[in-house]
Amino acid sequence: MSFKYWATVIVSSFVAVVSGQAYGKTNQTITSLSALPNKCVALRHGRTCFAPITLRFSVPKPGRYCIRQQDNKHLIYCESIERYGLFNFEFQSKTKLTYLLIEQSTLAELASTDIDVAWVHQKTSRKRRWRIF
Amino acid sequence: MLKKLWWTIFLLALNGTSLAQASDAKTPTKDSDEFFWNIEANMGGVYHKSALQEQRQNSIFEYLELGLTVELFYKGFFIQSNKRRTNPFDVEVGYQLHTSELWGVDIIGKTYLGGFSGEDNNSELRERNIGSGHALRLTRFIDDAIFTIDFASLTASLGEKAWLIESYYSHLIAYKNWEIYLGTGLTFYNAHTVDYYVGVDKHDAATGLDLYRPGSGFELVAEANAIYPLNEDWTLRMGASKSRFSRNIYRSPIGIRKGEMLLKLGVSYVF
Repeated sequence: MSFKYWATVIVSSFVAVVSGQAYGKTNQTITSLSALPNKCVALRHGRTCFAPITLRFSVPKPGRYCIRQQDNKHLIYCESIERYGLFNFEFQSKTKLTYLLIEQSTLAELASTDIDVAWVHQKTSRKRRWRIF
Repeated sequence: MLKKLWWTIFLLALNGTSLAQASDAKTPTKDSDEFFWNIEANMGGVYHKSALQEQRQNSIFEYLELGLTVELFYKGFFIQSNKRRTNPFDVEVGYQLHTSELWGVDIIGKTYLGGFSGEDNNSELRERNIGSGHALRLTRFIDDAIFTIDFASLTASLGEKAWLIESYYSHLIAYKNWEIYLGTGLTFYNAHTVDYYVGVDKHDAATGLDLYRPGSGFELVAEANAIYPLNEDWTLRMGASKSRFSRNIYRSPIGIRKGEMLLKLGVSYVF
C-alpha cells in the first residue's frame, strides 16, 4: 500500500464525514425564529426601550417568508430564502412584543419569538422629582 | 438679611401649601405616602482638579471612586442623592413642605462646601470646616427641566453670618436608552462665607501671607451627566463638571484656582 493510497483513503473518509454531517444538518432543519438579544433594558419603568435586534429564522423548504408583530398585521420584512434568514432592526417599545415568522404564500404562522422589556428602576415614587421630570 | 428672606420665603411656602390644599382637597400634596428606597453602589474613575492650587491626586487610589448613593422617602421625609449632578455623593436630608405639578418646596440639610486644612494646600493655613447647613429649597418643574434655588444658612458649621444662595437648572435629554442631564448653576456666597474659606486672617498671615478679606463672591458651574442601562442591575455613568469662581475668590493669596473640574466614568449596581 503506497502513501498515495492511504492519503486518498484518509481524505475521502474526511470528506464523507463532513458531507454526512452537512447532510444530517440539512435534514434536521426545523422551523424556528429567535431574537438576539431577546430582552431590551431601559432605565425606568414606562420608558420606551430601544435595542438593535437580530432575528434569525430557519424554514424547512425554500420560499418567501416574512416577519410581523403579533399585534400588527403589517409585514415588516419579507425575504426569499432557501433555509436560513436574518433580519436586523431597531426594537422600540414600552412593553414585551411577540414577532411571528410567516409563510407569505399561505400567511401561515410558522414560529414566534418574544422580545421582553425590563427596567433598571422598577419604581419611581417621587414623581417629577429626581428622575422623571 | 438672609434671616428675613428665609422667614419670608418660609411663610410664603406654608401659605402656598395651605392655599393649594384649600383649592383642591382631593389633590395630594405629597408625591407618595409609600416607603420608597433606592440604593446604588458606585465604582469608577474620577479626575478632580480641586479649587486648591496645591492639591493634587497623587496615588492611583485617589483616581478611584467607590461609594453608595442612598434614596429613602417616606411621608415627605427624605434622604436623597442628587443624581442630576456630577457628584451624587452630596446627600440631602429633608422634608417636603409642598409639591405640585409645577412647584416644590423642601427644607433640607446638606453639605454645600468641603473643608480643607493647610496640609491639603501644602501650607500652614488654619483649618476650614466643611460648610454644612440647612436650606429652604424652591423647585420649579418645567417639562423636561427642573430649576432649584436653595437659600442656605451655614450657621451650624461656619457661624451665624454665613449663608449662600445656590441656583441650578437641569435639563433632561432622553436619547434612546440614555438619560443625559445638562445643567448650569450660579451660587452666591456672602462675605462671611468667602472670607472664612479664602480670606487671610491673622492666623494665616503669620505664615507670611498678606491679610485678605475678599468679601462676597460667586461660582458659576456647568455640568453634563449621562446614564445608560447596561442590564437590569448595572448602569454606566459618566459626568463632567467645570466651575469658575469670581475674581476675588481665585485671587486669594492662599492659592485658589480659577475654577474646579470634575470628570467621572464608572458603573453603578442598582439594588
